[in-house]
Amino acid sequence: MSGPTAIRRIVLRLRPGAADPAMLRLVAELARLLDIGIHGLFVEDEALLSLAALPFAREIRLPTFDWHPLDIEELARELRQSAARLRQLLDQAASSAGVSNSFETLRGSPELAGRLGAGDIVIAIEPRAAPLPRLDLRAGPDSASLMLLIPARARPQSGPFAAVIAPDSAAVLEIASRLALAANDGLILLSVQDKEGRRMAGHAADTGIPQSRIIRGQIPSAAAPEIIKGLARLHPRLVVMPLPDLAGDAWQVAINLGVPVLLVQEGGA
Amino acid sequence: MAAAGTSAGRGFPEGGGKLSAGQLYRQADLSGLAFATTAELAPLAGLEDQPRARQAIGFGAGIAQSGFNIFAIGPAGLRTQQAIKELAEATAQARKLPRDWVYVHNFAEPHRPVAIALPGRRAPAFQKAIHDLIEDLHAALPALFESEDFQKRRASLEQSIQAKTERSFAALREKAAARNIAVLRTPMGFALAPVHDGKVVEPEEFGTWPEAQQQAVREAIQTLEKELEETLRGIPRIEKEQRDALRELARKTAELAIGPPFDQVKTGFADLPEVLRHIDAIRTDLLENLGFLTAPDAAAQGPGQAAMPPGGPFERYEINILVTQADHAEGAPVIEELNPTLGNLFGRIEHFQIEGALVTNFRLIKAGALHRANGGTILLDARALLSEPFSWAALKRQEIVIEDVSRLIGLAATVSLEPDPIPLDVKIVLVGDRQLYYLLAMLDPDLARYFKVLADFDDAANRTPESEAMLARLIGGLAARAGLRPLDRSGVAAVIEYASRLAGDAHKISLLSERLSDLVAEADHIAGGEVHAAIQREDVEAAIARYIGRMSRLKEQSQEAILREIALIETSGMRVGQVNGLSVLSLGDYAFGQPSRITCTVRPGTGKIVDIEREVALGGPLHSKGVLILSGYLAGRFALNSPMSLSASLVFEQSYGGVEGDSASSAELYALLSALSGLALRQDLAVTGSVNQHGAVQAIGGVNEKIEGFFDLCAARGLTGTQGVLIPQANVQHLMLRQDVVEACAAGRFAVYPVAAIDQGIALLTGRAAGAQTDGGYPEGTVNRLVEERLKHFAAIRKEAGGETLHELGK
Repeated sequence: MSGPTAIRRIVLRLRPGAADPAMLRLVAELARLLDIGIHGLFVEDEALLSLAALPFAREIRLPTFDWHPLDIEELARELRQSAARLRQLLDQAASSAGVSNSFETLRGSPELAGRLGAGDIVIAIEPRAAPLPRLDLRAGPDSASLMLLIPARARPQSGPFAAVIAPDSAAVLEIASRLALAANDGLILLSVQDKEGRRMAGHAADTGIPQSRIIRGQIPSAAAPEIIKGLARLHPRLVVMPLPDLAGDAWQVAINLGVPVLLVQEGGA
Repeated sequence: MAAAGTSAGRGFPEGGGKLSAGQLYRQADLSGLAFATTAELAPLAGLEDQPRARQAIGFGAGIAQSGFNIFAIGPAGLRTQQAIKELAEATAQARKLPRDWVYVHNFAEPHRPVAIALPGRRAPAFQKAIHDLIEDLHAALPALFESEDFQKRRASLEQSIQAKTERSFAALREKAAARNIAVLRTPMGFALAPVHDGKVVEPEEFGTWPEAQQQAVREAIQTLEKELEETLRGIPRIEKEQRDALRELARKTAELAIGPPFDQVKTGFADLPEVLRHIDAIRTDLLENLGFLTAPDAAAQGPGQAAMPPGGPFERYEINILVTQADHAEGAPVIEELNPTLGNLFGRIEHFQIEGALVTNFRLIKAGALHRANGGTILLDARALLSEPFSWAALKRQEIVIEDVSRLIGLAATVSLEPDPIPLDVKIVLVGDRQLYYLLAMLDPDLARYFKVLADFDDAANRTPESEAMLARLIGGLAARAGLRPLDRSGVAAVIEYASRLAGDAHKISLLSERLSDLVAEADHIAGGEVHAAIQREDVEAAIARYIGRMSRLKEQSQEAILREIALIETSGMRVGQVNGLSVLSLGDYAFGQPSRITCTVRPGTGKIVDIEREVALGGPLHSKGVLILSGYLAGRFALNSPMSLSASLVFEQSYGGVEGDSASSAELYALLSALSGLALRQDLAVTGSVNQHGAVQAIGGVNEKIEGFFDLCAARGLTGTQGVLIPQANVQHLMLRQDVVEACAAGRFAVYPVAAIDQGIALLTGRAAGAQTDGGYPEGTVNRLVEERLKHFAAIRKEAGGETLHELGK
């Protein structure tokens, strides 16, 4: 087993109008358990500002579906106000959880690949409004090695943590164990190979989690339906999974179980 | 007017007409009842002493027709109510067990909860069945919705709908991209922007484009804007489709799961159509509101963890048992409501607070006494009932309608409920006093319609050895029930004699058990101090004395005023036109007698006797009537063959309150005869009794108190042996005088004279015979002769002076 995974911070990319206090609380709780801070990143979309400078630019507003001319000054003011409000909400959530936080406002592309680095957990939230396309994890420009997927209907934060173990899933196991230990809660280890599962359970016990709180489960394959089936009755509060192999199914797991999924790139963090 | 100067006792018929000591007090006769103490006597059961009332209550309680409710009137007292209750309970045993009533949620009109009747004792089973059913579903349904199968189907549904949305949006994006247009997200919505090399065109660059290219971009954006709007407008519809599809999926899934348990519950109530209808309504509502069960909060709550708290989503399925006979023995209930407010009688709707607002639901409907008594009997105090706003009017309805008083008087605008009325089938027993009953009968014509049975309790019973024995058992029962010492024979006799005194009649005994009960309680207290094993006569007499002592502050003040000659009352000597009358003052339960000086003056006039009390509006109508009768007496007795030429003034001296009643009319006549005859009246005698136009002295009330009042004054000044009281002959039977009065009379130091006619009285008071009329008129020297001569003299004066002058004199 390699050394502890270096997790620097949770980077929360905030969009105008995307503030959800429940989501912020969930993120702050995770930061508390991992003993890391939260970095709020608010991006003023450069493309939008360029558009607003065009004389014929206008927007259709929701939910009224009426059209309004886009005024660059008004847009800038709205973005500033959004940033201020999101910062306030982040401050409140972080303060309640007792974790540090910072906030940064940038102008540029919303993806801002260059701002994320190794050890950052980037947050992806299931869009509530259909028009927003889902984040394509594989093709994304983020260089972060950890990603937290939060479903729209996330359940209350209680219960054990689950780790989906693949061969060489040291980072997944290490982070899941760390969370279970910090929360003084149980750990579910789900593996395709029982032998691997037993080995990982031994490692988890070495971190200080009582054997009685470690639950092992075997699944036929690491496909999303099997993971969902394996965890449905165990009610985990969060699932930790390796990023490269299972990312395509990650959203399915998160949405079906109604729990956040933390994706970890082995060797990346 | 000067005193006649005759000495007291002159011409007085010594010993003549005096009542013997035995006539002044009637002792109890317990010779027919063998017992040492009341502990040996069987307590008086029910209303043995009230046969008329007992028959009425038995009839009213037994008849089933509506309107035959009972109004029991008579002396108030716990024993009466207790006895009525016992009688009603005995009758209720034969009636069938009433139904249970529950309130349930009205799914169609939530503000109008539905009342359902079940056979007696079955409501708890209904409540438990529904509670268990919902609790089981509460646990089972979330698990069902978390099942792999359901989750798969739901996810598949969500994804297909999501994909539909994404497809429409992706198509738009592609179409736009083909025309070098990008769809951008703005803080408040969406916008379309021209792009070049994957970036939004800067304004400066756009300005360098040829006009035709700019126009083409504008046109392309305009076209796409319409499509963007259409796409966005379609999203809510797609979302709604998604919601509907998910709901339908959940409903179908749940329907399969809940069918069997619902059917099982229904089998237990197959004989009750209303119950079955409600179970079906619950099932329908559950299927329409599965969100309760699938919500994360519901799943977290879990069964058995206050799953149905007030205001919670599952509360609507609960059953509110308003009244059940589950804890009631056989027969119909008998309920006594001591505080018959509208809410206590008809039930009330309570509220609880949610975020500052008062809210309610059918579970907060609370039963009233009528709900509990429905099918049986309810006992109410009439005065208490009439003191409560709305209660009397509401009671006359034939159904139980729960109303909020604050709404009735417009004080509250809180959203409330209108529960189904419940049919009322209850026997109402009102207990009140006679005055209240007759007042109500006069003012409310509905009384006779709703209270057809009158149970009239006697205040008193004839005093016979049998009734005395019955009273002994009653007293013994009262003492035993109150945990007091038993009474020995002397104690019982003293209480019986006191009961006779309370009745104001030596031949009656009072049935005011409350007062007798109080007396025995106080006597028991005294007996405790005297270390008596049983309550004795001396304990009872001491209790009576203490009671009187507590009540006699005003009596003592009145007597003190006389003794200090502030109020002028003479108890010796003789005076013309002046007599001692007697009156009674009642203060609550206590009454005492006091003497009053009555004086009269006469002069020639037009035949008018002036009642000064009436002239100054201090005399009541009965008193005025008594005075007017005097004119009739004079006219009838002294036929002068000429108009009555008398003018007289009568007054209660030093009377500053009102005077009512005609019990002083004989005294007033004596004063008038004295003034006319010039004969002085004895001041060591006091007089009571009313008189008719023929001179017959008639019975009055409060004779014992009046005699004792004059006796106390004389005793305070020192009894001379000539003092006494003239009472109507008819009142002799009422005498139950205090022991010290009886003893004084027995020793010849005081006397009570029965008088049947004015002639007897005037002879006693003047010491001169009244005189019977003969052909030659009244005998010389008699009172009547002197009166006649004086009247003739006045007539002569009038004749000589002429009408007008005399008219002036008579004014």
